[in-house]
Amino acid sequence: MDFKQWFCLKGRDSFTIDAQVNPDDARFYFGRPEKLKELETQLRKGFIDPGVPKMFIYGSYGSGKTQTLYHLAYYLQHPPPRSLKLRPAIVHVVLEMQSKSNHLDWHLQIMEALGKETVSRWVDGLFGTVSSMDEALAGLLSDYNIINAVKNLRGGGEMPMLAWRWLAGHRLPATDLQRLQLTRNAGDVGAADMVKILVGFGHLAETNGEKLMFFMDEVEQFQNISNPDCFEAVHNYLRQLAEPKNSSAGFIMSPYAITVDDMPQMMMRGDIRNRIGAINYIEIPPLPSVEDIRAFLSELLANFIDRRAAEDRIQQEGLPVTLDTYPFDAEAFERLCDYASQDPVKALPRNIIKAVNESAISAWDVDKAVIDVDTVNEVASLVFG
Amino acid sequence: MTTETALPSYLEIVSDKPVERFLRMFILSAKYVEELIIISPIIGMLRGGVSVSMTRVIDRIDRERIKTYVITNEPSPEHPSHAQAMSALKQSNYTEIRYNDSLHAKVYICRTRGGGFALLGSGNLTETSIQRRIEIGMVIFRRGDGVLLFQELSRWGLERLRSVRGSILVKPMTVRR
Repeated sequence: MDFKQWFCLKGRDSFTIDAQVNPDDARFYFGRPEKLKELETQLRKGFIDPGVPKMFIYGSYGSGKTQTLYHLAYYLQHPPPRSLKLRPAIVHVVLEMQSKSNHLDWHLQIMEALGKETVSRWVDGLFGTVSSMDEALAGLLSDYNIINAVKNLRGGGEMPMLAWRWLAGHRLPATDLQRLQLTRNAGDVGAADMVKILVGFGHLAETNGEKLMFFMDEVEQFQNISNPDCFEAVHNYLRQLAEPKNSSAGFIMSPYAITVDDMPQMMMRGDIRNRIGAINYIEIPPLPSVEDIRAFLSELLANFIDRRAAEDRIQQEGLPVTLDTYPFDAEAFERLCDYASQDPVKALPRNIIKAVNESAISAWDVDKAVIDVDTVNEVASLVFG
Repeated sequence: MTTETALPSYLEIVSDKPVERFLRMFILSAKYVEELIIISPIIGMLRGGVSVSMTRVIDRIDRERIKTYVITNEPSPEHPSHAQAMSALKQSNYTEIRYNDSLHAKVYICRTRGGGFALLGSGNLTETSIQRRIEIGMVIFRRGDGVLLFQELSRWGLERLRSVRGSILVKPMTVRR
């Protein structure tokens, strides 16, 4: 019998939730119904005004920000809310910023996450529905150079890749610009130019029945940028994305921040706050009470344990445990909830899941079929102490 | 603007003493280290010219209370330094030690708050490997698209390898309050 069979785990190796590694885990969001309702409400409102959500969700390490992003993506797809009239096209981006990173680096990371194939598919989709591609693109894209670059995504040979490189912000030599019939490199006139590309892609997506949204994680990385000119260029890029007139390329960005005041400076500037709106700065706090922790743990176990297998095991071996708390006995379950709630700052989903996993491994080490209070006492002090 | 290179920025191939490179990164890391995972069939005291000794590693583990998970082969008489290293690591309250005699993999993972790095390669955590062997490894930084690779590797070491039947717990972590 292996570990997952020992604890009657249902189709998983452990109690860890990681939607980045296991996409099916995106459906889980345990123990915070009010917070989830707040997030979903703001998301739905965003599709009405300004037409696409623009939100920041912040919290400490381990508070569940990444899981929140993936769960919201899941929510938008299963099924889409009524206010979202189109199919969601969600692009996950994990940010990486260094001291001299600028708006071009950010743009490139977004473009690499979006992918040439996706945009080419949208261009092909548009081609199939219009009589004049030039007219159609002119109606969607605001700039001669962007129009020509997008047109070339449909070309043969190396032209589509060249066009994509231009759209992604790579500097092309004059000969390549000429081949693409472009007058300059993207970004030559500033960050606003790059955002026009994203907004244009948003419009392209809409013609294909999709709504483009970028879900960006670990955006506290903006604080790594120490060069002032680079910082301002990135800020300008963000401001352009946040503009009300951008109703086609939405975003949810997730930084580490214990309070809203800890958020990356550029997100707290007045021009950004005014455009986004205070109501779209949403905290993902630690679990506030022992009842919330109990609910979190109960829901986790209910979803991760194969109840039939667990019931059989309990009966066959006469285990001193009920299905409600299996594989913890009742006392161990309550003790874990108590430990988790002792320090409000540490009542984080990551810590709770770690405590569950470590308790299970400890019990497994000594062939205990049930996690008892002795095991929880040993483990929880390491995790929450 | 990021320069185009063959490898993405979250990966680095190290062919010059990769294990020592990892140790130096760990010792010199200014960030708060949450966890250290050492997976190496043989572990030595790292004396004799290695720039980071096992003593230094254990000092940092104890000073900063770094939860450290060690999975290794059971020491054999062929490698007396291995037994010495295990004896030293057992002195720390912050180490968990498991023996798995089927272990051949070499993985070293350092998780920091909001980041981290890992080394996946051919080298044992021994003086011989560092000083006298040709080794190669890949460093994975927990940033950008490297986050996914790092998470997978961490889960393999911290969960799957520790819960395999052959990974016998020899010394649990015991933190004194």
